Amino acid sequence: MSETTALYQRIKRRETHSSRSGLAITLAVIVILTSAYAITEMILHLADQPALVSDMFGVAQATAGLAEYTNGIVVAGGIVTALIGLIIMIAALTAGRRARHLVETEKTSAVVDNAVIASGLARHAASAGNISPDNVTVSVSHRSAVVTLNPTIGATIDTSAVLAAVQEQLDSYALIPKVRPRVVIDEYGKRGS
Amino acid sequence: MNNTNRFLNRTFSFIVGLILLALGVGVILVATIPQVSDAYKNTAPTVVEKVTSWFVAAPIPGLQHSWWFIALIAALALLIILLVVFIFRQGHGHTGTLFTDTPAGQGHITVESKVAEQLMQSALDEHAELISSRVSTYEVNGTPVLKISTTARRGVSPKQVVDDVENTLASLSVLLGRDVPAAVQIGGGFRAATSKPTRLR
Repeated sequence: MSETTALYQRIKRRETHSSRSGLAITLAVIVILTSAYAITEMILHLADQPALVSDMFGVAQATAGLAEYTNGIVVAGGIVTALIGLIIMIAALTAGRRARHLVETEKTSAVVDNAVIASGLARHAASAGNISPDNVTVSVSHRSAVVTLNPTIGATIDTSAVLAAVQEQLDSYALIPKVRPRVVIDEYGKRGS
Repeated sequence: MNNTNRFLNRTFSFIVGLILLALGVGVILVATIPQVSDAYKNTAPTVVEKVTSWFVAAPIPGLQHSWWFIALIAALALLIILLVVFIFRQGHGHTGTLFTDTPAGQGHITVESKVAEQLMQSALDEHAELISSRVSTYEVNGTPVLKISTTARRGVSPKQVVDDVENTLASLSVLLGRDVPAAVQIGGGFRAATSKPTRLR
């Protein structure tokens, strides 16, 4: 049985975290295009044809003369390049958590999108607050769910009843990690309807 | 679920990021700090001259061009091939065989994944709280695992969906005579947003 547990551990981890394949594929395509361009220039040079932009010797000369160019543009280019590099490195090192929760169960590995949790909570919040489901917004993050009610002006909402209903739902969902609910009444209210 | 090499994805991205960061910082240093700028002005042209002299020193017989170009082209072509393989290596991990069995001297049994997939699929199609479901089989660490991706109707309790799927799985394992590991994924998405929400229960 522990073999299956280890298997599920691996699946759960992979289902709740990004594979970063989008980033890796994008970068790979860029490197491929750059290399293909460099190869083209070199072959043109070997065939004694005019270069598309500049041959490799020209590129080398330009790089060597870097310090001679207008400062502002060079610095700006350097900053942009360094920032892009930094962002890519951060993306490569961080966990890349997806907007999903695990559902506690032993028979399978189960993950649920936060959007599904939110729509479930919204229905029950609307029913407990006695307002239209259209006037309820729920956003679910890793550890909290914010239920925003937008009642018609003059209507009173039993906040504690809504909170209790949402809490009860969350308890029944058995999410990992646990989600803490918060109920917000939109202070401006809704005209008409 | 699939067997994408995530460590490789991250390592590759990290290296590209590191190179860009180093280049950017280098350019900033050359452009802003006078000492670095002067040192660069002094050394860069000599480095270029040296490299150019290597190129000139290794000509292809009969031509005035250098062997180094051929070597560079080959190296870059190799890099391109490696990266193309890297891109097409993403994903994958489907398996067509659910399990094989050799009952004592009675021949050999192979159960294809399609059996379990179609049984699960038709059972799950009966459930009103699921708009659609897709069942496929992946091999994870050598074990075939059923992957059940479902789109839940708006307002459905995810726990309810998990319980329903697990009940269906229990029937499946009675039918097959053994437990099949499974991974359930419940999503919302466009089809959930455009179809009727569930009734409150």
